[in-house]
Amino acid sequence: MTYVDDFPGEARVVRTAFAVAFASIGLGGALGVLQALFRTGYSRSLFSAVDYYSVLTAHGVLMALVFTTFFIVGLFAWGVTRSLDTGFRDLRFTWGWLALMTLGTLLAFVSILGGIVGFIPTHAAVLYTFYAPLEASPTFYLGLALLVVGSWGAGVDYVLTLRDWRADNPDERIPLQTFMAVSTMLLWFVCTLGVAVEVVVFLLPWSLGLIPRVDPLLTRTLFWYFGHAVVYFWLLPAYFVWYTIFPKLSGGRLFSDPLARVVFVLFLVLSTPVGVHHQYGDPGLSQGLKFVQMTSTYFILLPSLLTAFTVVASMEHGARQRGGEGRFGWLRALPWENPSFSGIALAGLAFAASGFGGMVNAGLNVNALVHNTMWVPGHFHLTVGTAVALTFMAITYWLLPQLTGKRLRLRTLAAVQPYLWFVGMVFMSNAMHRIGLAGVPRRTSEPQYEQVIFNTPIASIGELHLQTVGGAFLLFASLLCFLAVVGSTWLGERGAKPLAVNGHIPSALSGPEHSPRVLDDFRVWVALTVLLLLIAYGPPLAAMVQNGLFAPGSAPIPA
Amino acid sequence: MTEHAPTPSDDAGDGDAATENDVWSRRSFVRYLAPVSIAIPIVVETETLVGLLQNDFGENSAWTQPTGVSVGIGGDLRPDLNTREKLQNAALEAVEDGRRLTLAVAVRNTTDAPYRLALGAVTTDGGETVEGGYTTDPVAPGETTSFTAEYVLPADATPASVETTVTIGNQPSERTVQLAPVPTQ
Repeated sequence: MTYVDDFPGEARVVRTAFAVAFASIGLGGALGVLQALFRTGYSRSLFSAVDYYSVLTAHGVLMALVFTTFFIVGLFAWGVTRSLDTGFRDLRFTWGWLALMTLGTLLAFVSILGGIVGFIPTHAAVLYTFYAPLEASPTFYLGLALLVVGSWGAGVDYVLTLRDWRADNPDERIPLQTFMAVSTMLLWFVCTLGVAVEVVVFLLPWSLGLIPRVDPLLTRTLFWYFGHAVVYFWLLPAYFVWYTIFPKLSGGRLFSDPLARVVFVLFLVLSTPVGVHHQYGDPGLSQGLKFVQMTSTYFILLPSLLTAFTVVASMEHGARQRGGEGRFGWLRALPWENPSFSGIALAGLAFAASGFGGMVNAGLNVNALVHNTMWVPGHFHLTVGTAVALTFMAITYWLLPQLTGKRLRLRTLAAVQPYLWFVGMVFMSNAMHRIGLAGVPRRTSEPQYEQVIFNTPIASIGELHLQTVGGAFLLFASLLCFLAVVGSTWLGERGAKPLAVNGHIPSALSGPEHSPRVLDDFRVWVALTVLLLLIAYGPPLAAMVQNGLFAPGSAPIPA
Repeated sequence: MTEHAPTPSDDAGDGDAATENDVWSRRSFVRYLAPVSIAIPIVVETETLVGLLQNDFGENSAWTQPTGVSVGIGGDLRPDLNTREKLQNAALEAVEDGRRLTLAVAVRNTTDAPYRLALGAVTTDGGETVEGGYTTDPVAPGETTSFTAEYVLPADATPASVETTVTIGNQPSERTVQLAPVPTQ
């Protein structure tokens, strides 16, 4: 019996969420290639330099917000019901939040599309970091609000399912997958409060003309309160895979369940009070505050370093179970032909590299060198675009047969796909980092100026543009391979061949019994999170509000 | 189905994984992709690192140039000296026979000896040398002066460096000064 047999209704929910996610990554990826061709100057005939920003917004929203969120709610729906061995209490509620998310996505996407096609009277060239003073049509903000509210529904569903399970199993420790899913959704609840206030109180009324102006600093601060923690909302589901499934794929077992729980608790507590490190260049925020949040940002390296240790240790354990020997020789014993394994391993490698770039971004002084340059998208494509996206694609190869009851097809294509993605990203991201070091700006359609010559450290700008476009095409080829495998499997015949996968996950070498039960008490960790947030964001937000809620420098509103 | 309930197969590793991996083992050619794929970033990033180091410390790098860094508008042409030679303005302008480079310089003699600044030839990004320049009259201690030097460069050429000679008393000090990108008017 596989997951689709045990939970047919939930499997349908997961498949639907994945279908939206894969449609988004397909469309967003195609727009990404067009964007790369335009920016590098290889083709500027498909759309104008102004439309570029709508294309860029669509690429960012579809890839970073829609693909990730839909995949995550689907993955967690699978993980929670599988690990608790129980379905959701009311599937109508489950379908309700999924429908809300889908409606919101359509609304936001059509709003962006209005900026490119004339017959839709909307515009949303505000990028996926949608803060003032850039303004979009109200439908864009409404769509994103529905997407977020729908995802809250997913979190509520998981928490209620866990509550029911605990009532039946009062002495049991929370299964690790559910623990991770709920921790991540609690983080999501906390961090989306900022963007919810930004959208509902400020941007939506502003775009509707109900209020004449907004304070850019306040809305930016609210956005970045959300905007860095959202990175961990994307990353933690990848960690969920790395901790709970990857050791099995390696041939072994998770090294330490308690360490995994500690890591997720640390992310819940530390992820949000760090957003100001995206605002080092903003006037109106004190250097002291920036320094404090820089320090908090460096704290958050700790759980990632713990993860690197645990995951690599689990991988080595698996390799030695498979007969691997020697100091590094065990690496050869790993199943590199299995795309679920290789994709995750390569994603982890890319994440390790991007961690060092992240340390540069987090530094108060060094950040000034790279902040508004192509370095930042280069970093972002390594983290979310590879560590997260490649993990999601890789684990799809393992999950899809369990969700559909159909054996994976086009396996050779699947086996090659992660390598194509990894190499493509190496080329593209490396070029973006190097172009960034030369000072070439990001978020710019035509980054060349008559009076400015960019002095690249190595190779010419032209060579780096070629490298960028080459990498982009490799990535798109990899994406097409992925979609071909998924589509072919989905359309295949159920039960024709054995699935060759199952959802059994072996227990950890060190189980939850080796950790204190307080780790499972989310009330403690949420309280600590709120306390840290009050310390980190209370004083600056209070100062901004006192300086005028909608118009800085005016009397506080209400006066 | 909860993952923390150990099973006999857990204690001996995961037999399921071995079965799952068997279906992939026929594609042995993929195993070669792993070392190649991991070698590519090592090569690319090593090349980047070596290039960055060469850029800073290698031959013809900015580090080994006489003045250390390129001088732009508002910069000091000779930071190695105690005197002041400020590049007040720099501009490129298209003219009939090429591009006219104008360098406006203000100097202050902060020494106790007579002082003189000479701007010499300009070298273009293509390596061509364009003669021209300007030499100040002797500047008395504590005094200031300013001047403008003009050069006509070939069309499409941009200035890369200019020769400078500061003479304090009878002691000349020559340097090639790297120029930052000059705005085009």
